Amino acid sequence: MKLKQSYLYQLREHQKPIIIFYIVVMIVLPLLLVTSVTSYDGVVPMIIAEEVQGEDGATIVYESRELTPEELEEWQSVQSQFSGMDAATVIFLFVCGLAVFREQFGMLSQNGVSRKTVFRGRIAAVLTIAFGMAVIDKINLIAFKWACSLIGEDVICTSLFEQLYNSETKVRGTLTTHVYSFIFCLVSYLAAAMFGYLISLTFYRLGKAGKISVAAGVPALLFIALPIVNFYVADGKITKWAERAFDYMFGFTQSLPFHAFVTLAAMFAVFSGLCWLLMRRAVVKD
Amino acid sequence: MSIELKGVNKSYGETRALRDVTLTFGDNKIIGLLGRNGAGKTTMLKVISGLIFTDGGEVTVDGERAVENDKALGKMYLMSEETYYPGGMKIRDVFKWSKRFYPDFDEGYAARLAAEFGLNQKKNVRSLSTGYLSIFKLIVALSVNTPYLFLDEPVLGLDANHRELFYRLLLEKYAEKPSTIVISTHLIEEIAALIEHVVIIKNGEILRDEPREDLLREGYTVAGAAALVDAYSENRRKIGEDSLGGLKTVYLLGPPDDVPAGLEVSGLDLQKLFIRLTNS
Repeated sequence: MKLKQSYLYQLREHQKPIIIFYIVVMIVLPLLLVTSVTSYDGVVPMIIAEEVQGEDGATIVYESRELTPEELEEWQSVQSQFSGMDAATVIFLFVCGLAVFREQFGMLSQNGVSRKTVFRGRIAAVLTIAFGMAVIDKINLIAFKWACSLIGEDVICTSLFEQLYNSETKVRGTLTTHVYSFIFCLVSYLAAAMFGYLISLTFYRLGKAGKISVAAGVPALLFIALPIVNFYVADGKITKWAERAFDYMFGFTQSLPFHAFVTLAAMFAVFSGLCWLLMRRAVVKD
Repeated sequence: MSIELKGVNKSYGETRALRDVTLTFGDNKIIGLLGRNGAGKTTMLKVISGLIFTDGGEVTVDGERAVENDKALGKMYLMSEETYYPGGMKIRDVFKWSKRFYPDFDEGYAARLAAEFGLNQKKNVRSLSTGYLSIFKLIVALSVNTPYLFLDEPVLGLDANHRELFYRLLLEKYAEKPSTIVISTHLIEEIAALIEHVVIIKNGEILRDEPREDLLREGYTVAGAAALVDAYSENRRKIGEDSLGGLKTVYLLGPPDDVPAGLEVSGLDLQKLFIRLTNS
């Protein structure tokens, strides 16, 4: 069994991109902080546009109204907001997943590693990378929050989790929020990394005609056929159902992050299973 | 101790690359795997190494099924015509990783060979010329020290000096630590003296699988004055001939008999026999 070698090799292949990614993060975030503080002009909007029902009761229109005292107070308390560091990691891991399969599969097969061991090594490497990056992102977030607090209360830094589950984070204490946020990052990273890998593997297994069909067919189905069917045939029920399902799966409205934990973990498991089904009969291509 | 193929079939669409191949690569021999373009040599080596799957039949290594078996796969190394190493990886890093995957990989020996061939270990795989790509893969293959080594077109793009160096190193390695080495090549004349056993494959079927000496005993070569050679070979099974001025050489099947004075008899040429056997 060459599991250790397979794991170490796949881990090592991510080392350089991860270092570059965090160098960029370390350069960009402080720069954003400095530029946002110096460019703030102190002007606070007094009026916002709001979605309301039209006169016929069916259409949606936008009407302007003044900010309520509470909204004004909340706005004035925030000069700048930094968020989405963890979202950047999600995208990074997705792209890594897309990029690594072909070369790694060739290299490992050349060195007498079976597909089963390539797959197990991949799972172990993804778990390690996702855990490591979730830890680093958490440390970064805490450090950045601390840096923001030094500048003043009107500069805030939030994680993706805090943005998505705002009411949950207000109810929970700081430590619980950090733990939840960490779990959310971990499962998001796992799902993203494996989703990228799945797409890469799917295209690797498909022939030329299959690649073209998927590359053209999926966007056409999602962005042309589905909206047409939804609008003309289903009377908008498909999008409403999808919205409800999506909301339930991620627990946004009810602010239930556990729903998201379970959903993302399940996505990771399903993507992994599909990857194995595709990999077990994959041949090394020239 | 052997690699066995039992009833192996492999097709690419309508093309049958391997047809019910049953074959054994025995212990500690240098074997020549010979066949014309598209005969199925590379397919056979890829099937054995697990890079592709068979459509039927099985491959065993020392009695164990090879497919998806790390232990069995770890006993062999395929130097493929294709390069499966990452293009951005440095040669020295390939050596380091080879050591991890194959514990018997000799890094010191690989470094010595790299120096002898003039291969810069700081270069990326992608930056190597065709010849140096072959050299790089040959160095890994010679240093890996597995019981079974498969070399698919090992001297592709190599100049005569490097080819000669490779053949010398291969024999030295074999003398020092015997293993089963299968060489698939079109340069039959060059490896004829190296190989002990010959496997000839034609249209996916094994045509011959026997010791080189037995194969070459099937015929002989007669050389001398053209008129004399023509007269001698007239009613015999001729498989080829070469002429130079008034001198002629013919390659004949069967045992040498009644050779007149003035003609020189020698062993059969493997390449001539191969051409004869594999011509449609």
